[in-house]
Amino acid sequence: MNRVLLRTGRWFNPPFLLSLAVLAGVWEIAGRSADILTLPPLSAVLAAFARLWTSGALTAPLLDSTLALLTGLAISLAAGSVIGIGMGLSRVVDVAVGPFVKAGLSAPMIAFVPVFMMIFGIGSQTRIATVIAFSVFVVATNAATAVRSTDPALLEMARSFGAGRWRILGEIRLPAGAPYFLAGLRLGVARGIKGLINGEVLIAIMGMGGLVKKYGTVFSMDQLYAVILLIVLYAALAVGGVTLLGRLFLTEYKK
Amino acid sequence: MTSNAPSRQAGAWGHRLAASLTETFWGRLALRMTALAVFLAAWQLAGDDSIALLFPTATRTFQAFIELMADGRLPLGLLITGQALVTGYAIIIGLGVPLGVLIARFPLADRAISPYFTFLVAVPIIAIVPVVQALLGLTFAARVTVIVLFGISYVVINSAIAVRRIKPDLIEMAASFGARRFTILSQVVLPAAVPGIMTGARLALGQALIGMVVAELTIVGAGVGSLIAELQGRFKVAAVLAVAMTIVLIGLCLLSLVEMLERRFNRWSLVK
Amino acid sequence: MNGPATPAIEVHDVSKFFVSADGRKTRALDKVNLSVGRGEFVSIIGPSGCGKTTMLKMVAGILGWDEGQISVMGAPVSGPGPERATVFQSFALLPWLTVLDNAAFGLKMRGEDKATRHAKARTLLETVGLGDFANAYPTELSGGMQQRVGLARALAVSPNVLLMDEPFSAIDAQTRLILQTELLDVWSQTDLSVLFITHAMDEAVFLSDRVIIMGARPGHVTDVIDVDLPRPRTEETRRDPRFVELTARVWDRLRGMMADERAGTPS
Ligand SMILES: Nc1ncnc2c1ncn2[C@@H]1O[C@H](COP(=O)(O)OP(=O)(O)OP(=O)(O)O)[C@@H](O)[C@H]1O
Ligand SMILES: [Mg+2]
Repeated sequence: MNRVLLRTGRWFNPPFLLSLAVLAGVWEIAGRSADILTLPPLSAVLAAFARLWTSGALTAPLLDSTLALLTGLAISLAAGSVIGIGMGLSRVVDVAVGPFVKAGLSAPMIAFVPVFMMIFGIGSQTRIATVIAFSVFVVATNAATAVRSTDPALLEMARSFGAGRWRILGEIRLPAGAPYFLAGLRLGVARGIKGLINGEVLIAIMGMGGLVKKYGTVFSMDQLYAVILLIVLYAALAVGGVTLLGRLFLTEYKK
Repeated sequence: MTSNAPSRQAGAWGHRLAASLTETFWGRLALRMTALAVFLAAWQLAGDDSIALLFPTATRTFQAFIELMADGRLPLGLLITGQALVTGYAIIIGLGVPLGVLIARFPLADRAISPYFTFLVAVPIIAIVPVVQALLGLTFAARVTVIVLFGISYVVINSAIAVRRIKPDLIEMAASFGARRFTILSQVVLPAAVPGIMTGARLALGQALIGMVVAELTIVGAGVGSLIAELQGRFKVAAVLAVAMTIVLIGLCLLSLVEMLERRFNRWSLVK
Repeated sequence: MNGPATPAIEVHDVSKFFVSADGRKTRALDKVNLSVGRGEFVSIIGPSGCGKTTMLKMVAGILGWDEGQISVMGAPVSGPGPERATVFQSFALLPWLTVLDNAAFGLKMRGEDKATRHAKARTLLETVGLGDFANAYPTELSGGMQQRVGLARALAVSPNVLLMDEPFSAIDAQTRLILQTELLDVWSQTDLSVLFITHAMDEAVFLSDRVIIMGARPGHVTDVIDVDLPRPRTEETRRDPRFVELTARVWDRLRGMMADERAGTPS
C-alpha cells in the first residue's frame, strides 16, 4: 500500500509541477485582473507571507502553537501507551476497552471542542485537550499492535531463559514493537496537528488558528492566505520531521 | 516447588475466569458493560453540578439530552445538518470514485493531480474554511464544500489504489474474449475495485463527519451549529455535551453501517 | 479463409522485444516457428522465463509482436477473435459472479443474450461435472473445480482453438491427473486444436500429439518431440514403457539445454 501511495503522491514530477505552475498562473492573473476581494494575486500572498514572517508577527503564535502541540502530544503518548500496552498484554483489557478505543479512533471527536471551550475556557488547555482527543487513540491502537506483534519464537526464547512478564515487556516486546510505536507517533503527530489547528480556529483567538480567524473575519485575504500557507508548511514539516526521525531511528536500530 | 503451588492454582483460576470473559459472547458483553458502567460511574463522580459551567455529571447530561429531544430542537438541528452531510457524502462518492479511476488508468492524470489529494489528506482543512466562507458565504453550498474537502481525497486515493491493484489476469481474460476498454472497465475493473472503494468510503465518512462539525461550528447555519452556539451563549455545558455526544454516537452508527457494507463486499477480494 | 489444409495455428519467424524500465530493449522471443494442426494437441515446455506465456498471449491476440507472422485458422491474428479461447493459470474467475455467470462471461463479452448464454454455460458446466454448482461462488470451490469453471468458460464460446497457459499448475497432483483425463475426454469429442503450456513433462507427454521444447534467453524452439502413444489415453498409458521413455526423452533434452546454459554456451 505504501509503495502504491508513494508513487501516487510523488510531488516532484514534471506534470504536477506544470499543473501547479498553471494553477499559480491562473491565480495570479485572476487575482490581478478581476478586483475580487476574496482572491488576492499569488504574489500579494507571498509578499504578505514575507512581510508577516520578517515582522515577527508569526513567531509568537508559532511558538505558542508548538508548545500546546508538544504538551498535548506528550500526554497522548503517555496515556495512549499505557492503554495500548495494557490492551496488548492482557486480553481482558483488550476486550473491555478495545471497542471504546476503536470508537474514539473513528468518531468525530471535534464535536467535543465546544465542550472543552466551556469547561477549560479560551486558553491553552482547550487546545491541548483537542490535541489529545485527536491523537491519543491512534497512539493507543499502535501501542497495542506493537506489543501484540512480537514474534512468538522470541517470546518462547525469553521464557525459556526464565524471563518474567515485565522483563519480557521491557527486553523483547517494546524493542521489537518500536516500528509500530513510531508509526503510532507519526499518525499521532499528523492527527494532533489537525486537532491543534481545529481547536485554534474554533477558539478563534490563539496561535496560528487564531490568526486564521483574525485575518479571515476582517477579510484581509492576502494575510489570511499567508497564514494558511504557514499552517500547511508547518503541518508538512512536523509530519515529515517525525517520519524522518523515525527512519533515522529505525536504521540506527537495525544496525 | 511446593511453595508457589497455591499461587499457581490461583493463577489457573484467574486464567479460567479471563478465558470465560474473553472467549464467549456473553462474557465479552458482560466485560464491556462493566467497562461502560465503570466509565459512567467515574463520569458521574467527576462531574459537578453545583454550578452550570462545571463539567456536568452523566445524569445531568442525560437530562439535558432528554430536554433537547423533547422540545424538538436537537432532532431539527440534526436533520438540517444531516442534509449537508448526505449531499456532501454523495458528492464525495460520485466525484471521488471516477477521479480515482482516472488517476489509476492514466499516468499523466496521476502525476498531475494526485499530489493535490495527498496534500488534502496532510493538511488541516479547517485552515481553508475561511477561504470557502469568503468565496461562498454562509451558505449550504459552503458547508457542503467543506464536507467534500474533508472527505474526498480518501475516496480518490483508495479507489486509485484498488483499481491499480487489480490482477492483470482478470483484464487479460476479458480482453481475450474480445471485451473493449469500456466493457472491461464496467465489468471487471470497477467490480474488482469495490472492496478498496468501500474502504475509502468508510475513511471518507469519518472525515466527512469531522467536516460536518467544522462546517456547523464555523459557517453557522440553522443546523446543530446554531444550536451549539446558542447553548454556549447561555452557558449550558451539559446541553452542549449532550449535543456533542449525540453527534458522536450517530457518527459511530453511520460508520459501523458503512463498515458492515465494507465487510460484505470484502468477500470479493478473497479470491486470488 | 484458406482451405482446411492450413494449420489451426501457424507461428512464423516471430520475434518479440520488451523494453525494460531503464529503456533497454531485450529480446524475449527469437524467430520462433511452430504450428498446431487442426484437431491437434500440442504442448510447449521450457524453463521459466523462456517466453511461453508471451507466445500464448500473442496467439490469443492480447499482446503484439515485432517481427514475423501469426495466423489462426488461416487468418492473420490482429487481436482476440471468436475462434480462440484461453484458459488461465490463475483461473481468472471473477469472485463477484456465480459459477454460472463466470462460465457465461465469455459469451456475454461476445454479446449473447442472457437466456442463450446461461443455457450454453449450464450445458458446459454439466460437461465439466459442475452442474450442481451453478449458483455457488468461485471462493466456495476447490482449485480443481475453479479451473473446471475456467475450462467451461472457454469452451462455452465454441472455439476452434483452445489456448491453455499452465492451467493445472496451481492444482494438487492427484486432481491434476484427473483433470488431464477429463480434458482429453472433452477434446476427443470435439475438433478442437489445443496449444497447451506446462512445466510438467509427464503432463506434456500424456496429453499431446507433439511436445515443443523451448529454450531461454532469448526464447526459441529447440526441439519437437512426436508422441506416438495410442489414443484414447487412459491411466494405462501412464504405465506404458513408451510413455516413460518419451517423458525421459523430454527431460534429457531439457536437462541438456539447461546444463549448456549453466556452462554459458548458447544451446
Ligand atoms: N511486460 C513485460 N515487460 C518486460 N519483460 C517482460 C514482460 N513480460 C515478460 N517479460 C520477460 O519476457 C520473458 C518471457 O516471459 P514469459 O512470462 O513469457 O515466460 P514463461 O516462459 O511464461 O515463464 P514461466 O514458466 O515462469 O511462466 C521473461 O524474461 C520476462 O521477464
Ligand atoms: Mg508463464
